[in-house]
Amino acid sequence: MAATAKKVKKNGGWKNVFRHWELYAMMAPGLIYLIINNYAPMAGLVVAFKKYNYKEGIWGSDWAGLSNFKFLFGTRDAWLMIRNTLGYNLVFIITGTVFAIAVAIILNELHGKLPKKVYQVFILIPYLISMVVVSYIVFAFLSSDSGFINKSLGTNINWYMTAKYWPFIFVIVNLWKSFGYNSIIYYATVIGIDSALYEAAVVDGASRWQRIWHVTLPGLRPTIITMTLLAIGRVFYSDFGLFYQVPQNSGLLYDVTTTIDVYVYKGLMLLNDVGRSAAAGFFQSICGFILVLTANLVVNKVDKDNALF
Amino acid sequence: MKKRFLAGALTAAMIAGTLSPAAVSAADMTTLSLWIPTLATYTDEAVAEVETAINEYIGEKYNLQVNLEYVEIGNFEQAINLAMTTDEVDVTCYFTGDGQLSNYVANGQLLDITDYFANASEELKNTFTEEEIIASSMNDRMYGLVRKYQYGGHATAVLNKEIVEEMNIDAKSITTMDQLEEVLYQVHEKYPDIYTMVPQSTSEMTWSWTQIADKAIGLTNYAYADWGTTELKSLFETEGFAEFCKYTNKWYKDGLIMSDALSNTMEGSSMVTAGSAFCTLHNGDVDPLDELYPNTVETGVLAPARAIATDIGNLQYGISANSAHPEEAFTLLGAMYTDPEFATLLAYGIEGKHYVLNDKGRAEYPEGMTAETEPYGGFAATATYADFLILPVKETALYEDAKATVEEWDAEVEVTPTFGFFYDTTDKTDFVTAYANLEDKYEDAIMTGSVALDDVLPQIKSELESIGFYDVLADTQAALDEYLANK
Amino acid sequence: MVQHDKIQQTIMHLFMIILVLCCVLPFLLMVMASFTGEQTLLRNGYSFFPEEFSLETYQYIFRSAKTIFRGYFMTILVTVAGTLCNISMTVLFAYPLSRKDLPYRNILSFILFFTMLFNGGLVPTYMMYANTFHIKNTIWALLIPNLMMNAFYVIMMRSFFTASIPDSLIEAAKLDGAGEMRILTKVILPLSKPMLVTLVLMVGLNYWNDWMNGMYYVTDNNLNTIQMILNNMIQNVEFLSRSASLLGADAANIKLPTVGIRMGIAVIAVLPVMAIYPFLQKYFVKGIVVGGVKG
Repeated sequence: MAATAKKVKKNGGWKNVFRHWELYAMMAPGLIYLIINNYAPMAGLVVAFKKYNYKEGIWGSDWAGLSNFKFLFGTRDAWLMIRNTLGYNLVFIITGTVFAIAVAIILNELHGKLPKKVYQVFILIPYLISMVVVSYIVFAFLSSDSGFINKSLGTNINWYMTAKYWPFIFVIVNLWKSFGYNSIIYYATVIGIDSALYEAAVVDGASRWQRIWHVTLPGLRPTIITMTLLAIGRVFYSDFGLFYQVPQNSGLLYDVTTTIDVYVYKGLMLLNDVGRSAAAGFFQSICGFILVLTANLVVNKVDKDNALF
Repeated sequence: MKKRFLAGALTAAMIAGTLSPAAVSAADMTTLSLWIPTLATYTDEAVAEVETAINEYIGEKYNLQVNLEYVEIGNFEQAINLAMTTDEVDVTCYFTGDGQLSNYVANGQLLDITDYFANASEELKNTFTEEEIIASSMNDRMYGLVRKYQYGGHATAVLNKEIVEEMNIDAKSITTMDQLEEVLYQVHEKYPDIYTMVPQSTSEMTWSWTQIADKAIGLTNYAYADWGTTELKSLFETEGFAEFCKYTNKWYKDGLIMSDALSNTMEGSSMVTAGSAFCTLHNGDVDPLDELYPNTVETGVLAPARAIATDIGNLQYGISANSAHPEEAFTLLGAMYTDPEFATLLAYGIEGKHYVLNDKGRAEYPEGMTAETEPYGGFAATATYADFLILPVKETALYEDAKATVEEWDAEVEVTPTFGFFYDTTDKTDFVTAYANLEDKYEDAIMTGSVALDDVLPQIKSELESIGFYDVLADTQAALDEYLANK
Repeated sequence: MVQHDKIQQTIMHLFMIILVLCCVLPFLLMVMASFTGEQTLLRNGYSFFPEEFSLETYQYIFRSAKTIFRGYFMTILVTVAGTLCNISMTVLFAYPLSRKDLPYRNILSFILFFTMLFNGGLVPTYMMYANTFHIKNTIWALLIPNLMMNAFYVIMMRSFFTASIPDSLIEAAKLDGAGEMRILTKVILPLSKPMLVTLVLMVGLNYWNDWMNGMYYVTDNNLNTIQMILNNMIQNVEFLSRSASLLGADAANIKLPTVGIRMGIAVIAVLPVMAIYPFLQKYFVKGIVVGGVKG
């Protein structure tokens, strides 16, 4: 008790707060924005537990207990969409991280300033393109009558009807769109690593691989942990555009394209049920929150310095 | 430095803010917002102009002002669902094609207008038939007014005119699927480079269910029956569906149907018009087709005109439950159906500027304008107005002709025996969602022939079983039987 | 050894060149498709070397030039104004957070981080913005909701400050009697150029590509951005595939833009970003610091 009081006095205390008024004043616009844009609507999460009635509004509607959550679990699609959402996200995190790190290291090991710059410019292009446009590009490749792949390889594959290809297509498209950005993030970290460490390694006679293994990768660790923790907070979400627009909402692919967001969208298109959509969002947030807290706890145990909070 | 940036940004933003025209409103009159979906290209300037003209007229006549809210049709449902949470919406169009009326009612979105309607003018009451009133009601309470339209439609096919002439095909004599098939194979042989058959729109083989099955009994959308029967089945188990899909599957296998059907994003009619496809299915109605599609020929009737429940009033106009002025809103709603001047202004804009009347009394684009360049965009969106009969402008004799034609049509249309039956699914929404997903998964694939029904039927049945379909169906059937017995 | 290194370098360059091609060629295929006539596209399929070079797509787009140019104008306006506001708020929020002597810093960090995980959902947000703030059909609708500040960027900015600005610099400025605002603008920001440019690119891109705010809060065509125009087309196509039947035969009046036209507008929407971005690129790498630095 005494210790807590002492701590408050050291870090907090009104006097201390007042002394930093300028800093707080700087934060005021941001705080106000967060309160308005993010926190005020959170009160509306209560809709997830209500049978929303437009006339009665959020507060006047009847309580519905947990029944809004039932549709996420009550049907045979429940397992499917949770499996897809989690499965794709895990694969995306792993492939995305590994590939991005590989490219970052290659960029770092390359000689020649100009080519390096050129590579960096071009690998970011997919990141600039919105998912809608990506869906056009994918169609240009995969259309079975006029697609580039079938036309140039002379094959006759009906891509939009064959579910087994799509897990790979999603991984490739996701990787294509995001690797440039992630590579640059890791590359920025790599070039920030103290060059003295490399010089020391060279003096010790380390080979290129040894340098990468003993200097570069450990240097990347904090970034990897931060990026992964942030990604874990989103594993119950999915990029709606990727799973809905890119496969052109083709029915035969539903088993591999139905993620939570897609299912909720389609269900709500039909029912315009505010309570259910809030319930789905709430479920995704809570799961993400618990996962991040858990992951962060683990990181805290293993590598205290790199935990998020 | 930063301050200057911020100030600059704010000024720029404010300038842009003033670009949007301010809504005209008289201080002492109630201003109502009217939400209409549109697919037309229109400019806000033209809409503001029409709005002013309308307000001048209805201000004097009803002491009301209106604020026109046109929304792109693809965004419309989302837009009104959001807007109806607040008091922004007074009168709005809404879609009920997939049985959504029950959702709108269950969510408390629509105002109960039963009493208003009971006290309305005789003219308004006489505008609607009994069927139309049932179609906009639930549990004997009325929630909206249906768009005036003919019931149902027959099924035909649209053929490319050049090929028809080249091959000397007698299009009108094609009246069965077998005859159509014969022609399709001939064309495929002679013109292997174009698609012989394409879906009517995107991945939907046909919008018309009349040759297939009796869709959407009452206001539910999971129960089907073969025509003339009242035995409920799943869509995939009806004979009509099986028969239709046998054709398409054969055509698909033989390369007559585009193999991209499932990921297609084009409309059949434009492809036929452009000559990249020969044939697409069509749901015909009282209007002659040739005026709508250039460069096409319509076949004879493949399936007779029949009306399923959702054909009547699948698009309706109602009042938001959160409207601050329900009484005035009902006046406006009624005027859309009974006041020719208002309805014409709303649908076509200002005469001479946005449309001209031809000597037949039909509206046409002013000289030099097309659907793309006419700024109010009324015509292209007539599909979504309250009264489709405004097509020939109301005050003309042609309007009366058209009205008579439609009434004649409606009298001859075979209306499903289950019409008026309603099964409340509001406590089964989880099932409805799961079913909709299931149907989405298979329907287009089978109907375009991409997949053979027989190959997937066992799988579909087991999936139907697992979502509890047959239990719900049995309950629905029991309720239907009771309804029919009482009728 | 040198020989060995040369081979390695060649392999790595080759790998990167292949990657670059993978990034560029798909986009190029789309550009070529927009220059291929609709009929040629249907007959010959998508190709990098279309048999027939056609401008019909761009002729169509040019006919509706007014809409497109106004869309451009709005997009640029929103992007510039939004990015400026966002960056200002981000900097002002991140800088105090990077200061180890700020009381209740952890609580404030958590308040920020929490917004990355939870949100109130569409309907409550909409009701607040539409009812309380009346931003519908105003430029604010395109600027404010969800885009004005992003916790992830604040965290990046904070990491950059912690990593790149030595405490001693701030102490020295304080000894000179500078206020916090002065320290930020005169000492810190000039050192943060790479990070600022990086954020400009990322935030600017979010504004450029956004259509959600437009879809929710704008029904006024004058406020349409390029992305909204593109999105409207897609929504309309999707609507037709879902429930065209309810329009009845009058739906025949509806003319969807052809695939070529959709591709053309997509190209037009992306080009300016691609044109500007190489100029910002040189700062990009230097700006990013994620993780690594704990504060």
